[in-house]
Amino acid sequence: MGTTGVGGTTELGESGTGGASAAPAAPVERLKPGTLVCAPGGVDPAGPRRVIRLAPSEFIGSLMAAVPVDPASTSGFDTSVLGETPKSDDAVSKDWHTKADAVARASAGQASASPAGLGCGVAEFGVNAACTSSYLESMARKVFRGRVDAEDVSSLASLAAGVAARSDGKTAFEIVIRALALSPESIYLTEGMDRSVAATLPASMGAAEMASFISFRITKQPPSESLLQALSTNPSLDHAALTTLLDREFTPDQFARGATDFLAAWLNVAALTGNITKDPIKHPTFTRAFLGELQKETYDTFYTQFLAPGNGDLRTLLTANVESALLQDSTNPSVQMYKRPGVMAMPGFIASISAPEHTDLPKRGKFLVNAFFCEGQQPPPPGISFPDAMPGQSQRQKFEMIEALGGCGGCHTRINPLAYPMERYDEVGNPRALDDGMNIIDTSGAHAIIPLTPRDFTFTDMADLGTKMAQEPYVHSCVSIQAFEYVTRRSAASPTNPGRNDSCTVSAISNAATANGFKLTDLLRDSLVRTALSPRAD
Amino acid sequence: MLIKTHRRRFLGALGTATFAASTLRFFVKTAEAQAFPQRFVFIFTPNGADANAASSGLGANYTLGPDMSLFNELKSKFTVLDGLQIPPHGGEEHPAGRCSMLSSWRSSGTQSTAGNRGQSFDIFLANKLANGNSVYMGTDPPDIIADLPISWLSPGVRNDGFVGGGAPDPVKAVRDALFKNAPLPNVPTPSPSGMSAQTANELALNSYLKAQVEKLRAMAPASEVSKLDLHLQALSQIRADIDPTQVGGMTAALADCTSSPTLSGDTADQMGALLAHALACGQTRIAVFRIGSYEPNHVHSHWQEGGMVGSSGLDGCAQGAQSCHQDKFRAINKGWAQNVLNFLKALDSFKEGNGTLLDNTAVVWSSELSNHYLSPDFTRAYDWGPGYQVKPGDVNTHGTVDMPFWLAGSLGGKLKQGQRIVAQERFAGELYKAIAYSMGVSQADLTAYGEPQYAPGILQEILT
Repeated sequence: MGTTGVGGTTELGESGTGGASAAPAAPVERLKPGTLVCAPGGVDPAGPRRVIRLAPSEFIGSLMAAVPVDPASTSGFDTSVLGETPKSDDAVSKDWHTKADAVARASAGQASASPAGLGCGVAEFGVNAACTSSYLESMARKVFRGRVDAEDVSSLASLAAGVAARSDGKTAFEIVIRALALSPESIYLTEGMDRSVAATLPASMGAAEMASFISFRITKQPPSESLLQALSTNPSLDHAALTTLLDREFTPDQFARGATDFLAAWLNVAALTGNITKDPIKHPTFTRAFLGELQKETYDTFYTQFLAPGNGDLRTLLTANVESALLQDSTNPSVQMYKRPGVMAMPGFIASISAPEHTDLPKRGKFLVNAFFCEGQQPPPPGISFPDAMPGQSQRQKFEMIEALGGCGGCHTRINPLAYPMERYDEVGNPRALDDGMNIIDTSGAHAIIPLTPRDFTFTDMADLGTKMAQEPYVHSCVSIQAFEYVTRRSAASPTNPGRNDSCTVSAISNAATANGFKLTDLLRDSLVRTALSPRAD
Repeated sequence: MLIKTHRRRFLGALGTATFAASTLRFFVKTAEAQAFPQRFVFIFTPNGADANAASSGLGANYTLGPDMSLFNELKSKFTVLDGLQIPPHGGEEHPAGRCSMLSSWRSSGTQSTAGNRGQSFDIFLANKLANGNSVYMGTDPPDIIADLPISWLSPGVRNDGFVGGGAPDPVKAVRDALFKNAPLPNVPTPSPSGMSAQTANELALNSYLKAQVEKLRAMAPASEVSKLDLHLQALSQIRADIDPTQVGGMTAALADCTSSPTLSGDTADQMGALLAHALACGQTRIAVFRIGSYEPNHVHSHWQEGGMVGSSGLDGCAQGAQSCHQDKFRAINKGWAQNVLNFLKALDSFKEGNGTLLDNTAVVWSSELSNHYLSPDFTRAYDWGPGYQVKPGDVNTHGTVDMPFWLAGSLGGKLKQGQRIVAQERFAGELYKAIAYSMGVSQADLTAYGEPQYAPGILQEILT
């Protein structure tokens, strides 16, 4: 697992494009709680104007708002990745285009059989100019999510007319549906590109841009006509007004689902159906299919236990006891003994950050220190491999030896301790009294909060760790950074300008969330509102 | 009926040739340098160009400006000719500029009465080489006070034979005029290249998507442009999959003069397709093609002053909103540039011998306002009198120096192409004389064109 946190953001920041030969970006220091600097009354520099390719699930969802989508046609796209968010520098490659076109072709064929909303017969499409233009205006508004003008309609109408003249109206209809689906107006989100909003930069997002920006992050679906209209008719919203508007346009359950997607992305739930495998001899039941079920259970637990009931705050997330039906917790006395306090004790989460056949302290610790403390880590020096634990030696003891070695302690003293409580659970999340070497497990540890050393963040076990993390301001700031990066699909630190970051916005998000009990749905909403309203520039 | 023509010196006999209203096929005489007729097309778009249309570099190693980068697709046949001037205005700037730019005579009169004291080049060439046959066409008619004709039959006698814009069906009007001797069938057939309708449809879709991505690319910040370039690259790869025989995006094939051309795109594109078809099929050799109208671009062309002061129609931009006006100006001009490119590609789609129709044509594209950004090495200021002072940094002033000129085609190899040439302070009339000379007009006959001081000789720099 090379990436942690949301949005695929690594300590390297935004890296090269998918499938392209672009040079990798220079390493950039991730924004950390300890480096948040915002003067009183300060405002961050404008965010970047951007063009962002939709994730496959978002593309399918956007298309479905206008035309039927055959699920079989989406097989080339993996739309099942929970919490997926595209890297902001994803480019349209030939492969991506071909897959998207496969979906579009299937939709076009299906739609042409009975075109909903076409005022004339499909044979007249491209021939009857008025009927064609009327249909295109309506369809383009849906597929382009409000970003349509007369020139767009005219271009499409010309395309339709040309195809109809060469072939027939049905063919013209299908070609135009594909044109709509594959148009950059459809497959890209833009920020600050609507120059009609302001003649100069920095510029706010246009109403249609903002509608898509918000809607995809809450529902993974395109914006409703109601949201588009509301934002179009209220161009000068402030924080309070936009918050009220969102509460009117989206239900609490939609926010709960959106927050669930955020958790899934933040806590890397997708990894369970990625390249995670478990030793088939040691764990024969942990097949790919089972891991998929475990992923679903994890995701559903986020929603049903933490977010849908309305008590989805950070404390609950990190401390409330959960149970796994798949691992048959209800009949497992070990679970009753040790419980599963919070998300860090969920088997799906544990399995996703553990090795195939052992717990892997550094791997777990690295994820936790990144996810909850926003600390990036340099990769280990090349050629390094860890020796097996000596007979009778626990994993903790083995790594404490390694930490004492020159060149290793600097990183391992920071990443390993947070994983000590998780030693209570094996690599697939089963609780245990003794580790693989039959040693008693010491779940206590300490993590130095930087830059506030020598203050140590100490804990005795998983429950204690969760409780302390839930009330730790440093963790609040880190989770706020995670939320910011999730909703904006970019790093909070500029990859090109070391001195530019979003400290003030993140601080405001964190302070507001902390003041209100750090509810995750509120965190999502506030992050969206603040980042939607912030201006964009080059 | 198929007519084969074999001519020892095709050029010399061309002036007396007539073209039958049937399929024509042209065969290259291996011993001769030129066996296909040479054509001339002047494209006019009003109100000048923006600084973002300026190119840089010299010779073949030049770089097209951002608003002209779409011509990279045909760069080897596209020439930037900077530094030229037209006769100074004798009256109001726009109409006088339009009057004089093809005639190389200083125009006279005032805004409403600006008249030309010379015959325009298209008419001159048509009289010398094509029995007086030429076409004057376009999307919008020259019937507004400031938008006077470019084509003049003789001193003070405007060419009222304009067809297209202003007619109830402008495209049909152009079609009927171009093919009055050889009416085209009403039902369009597959494109002249002979490709299947399915392939043509896929290419049309690809072209639409490409245009949309380019439109987004033009608006995108520099940090995002490479991402969109990758998208364009993907579309190019897909296009090659659709039809691997394409060269520069079009498949060149012999003209099928019994069929109607495929018309797609906007009015200008459709008219361009008809004109290309007519040129390929011998219906005309000389044409002036106006693309676009005077307004609302005129309002925006004065973006440096914040839009046209006192103008009643600001087309959505407040007075003084420079960026708004400039953005609109650029958008309109880029749309016209796309029309020009589409027309050039249509010319390049017709195979003629070892080359294409475009290779055997000289296309000159210009506008009547000067733009100092087109030749940044220019440093002199001009003072032609009150209201006619231009200095470095001025854009779209009513000046007559640093005029925008772009060329395409080589008249069968006689003109340089694929280069940027700076002919500082030379006259456009010298360019036209070079073209006429390359098309076979004798040096003696050349003296009959233009006012001597504004067409003093031949622009050798453009000749190979």
